[in-house]
Amino acid sequence: MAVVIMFVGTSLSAAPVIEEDNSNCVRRARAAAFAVADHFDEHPNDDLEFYLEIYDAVYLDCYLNG
Amino acid sequence: MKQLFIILLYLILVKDTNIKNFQSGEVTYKISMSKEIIEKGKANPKLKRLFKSASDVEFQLLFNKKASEYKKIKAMQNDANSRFNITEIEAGGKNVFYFDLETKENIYSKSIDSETYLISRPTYIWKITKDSTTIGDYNCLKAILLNDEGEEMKIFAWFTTQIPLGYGPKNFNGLPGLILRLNSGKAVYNATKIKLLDKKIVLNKPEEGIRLTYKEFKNRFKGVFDQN
Repeated sequence: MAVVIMFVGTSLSAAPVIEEDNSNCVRRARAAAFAVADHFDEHPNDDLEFYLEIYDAVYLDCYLNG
Repeated sequence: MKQLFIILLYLILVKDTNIKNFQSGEVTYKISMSKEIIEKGKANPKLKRLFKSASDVEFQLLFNKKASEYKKIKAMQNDANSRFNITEIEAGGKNVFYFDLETKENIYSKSIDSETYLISRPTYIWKITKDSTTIGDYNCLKAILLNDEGEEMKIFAWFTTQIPLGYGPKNFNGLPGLILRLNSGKAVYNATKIKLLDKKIVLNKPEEGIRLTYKEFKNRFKGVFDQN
């Protein structure tokens, strides 16, 4: 089974992204950002710096720890 | 009685002189999310993991009479145990925030996709109220942040004109005095240590990185959250 390693805009950090994990981690990272935004009664774009950091933290956690 | 009055007057004058004669300063802010927010987050299955590791953090503001720099205080040992801390993310994460009092340049450096970006924000506009309080030895006034339409936001600060330098945590700057407490709507930033120093400190403006205005930054990255 081929694993494609690529650098794309899905991770906001400098991590090579394994394609198979990619969609799952992106989905998780986006879902977390939206869930937190909902918690604070706002849209992620209302406080973009904060939600990009959440996205990045969840993405990296998913990527490194599964 | 007269002697007591002279001593008191002396103490007041000396204290005031010390405040005015400093060359630089250090402020430690303790940042806390409200327990209510954390508990509510833990109760949400989607957010449980993210809020479980939320704990207070400390950031430092260094300043001289020209500029300030705000960043995280070196990680404490038990930080290594937690994967990420939402309070730390709110407090500024690994970013470094620089503010030039003369030019009003409000810049922060941020690493994304192995690139360092230098993002400049417009100076915030505040509405100063008549509400006052005392924090430590300092008399403070309340200021409420205004949005681009001039409407009041949920963000407010307590600042002191006894330290008449418009610095504060993250990029919350531009008041007529130092911010000692800030409520960002997500967390509360409390100045827990304030040191006024009689020594020069040099703060270098971040120069290396891709320069973006805040508008450019938003346009570049808002797409991450657009399709939902």
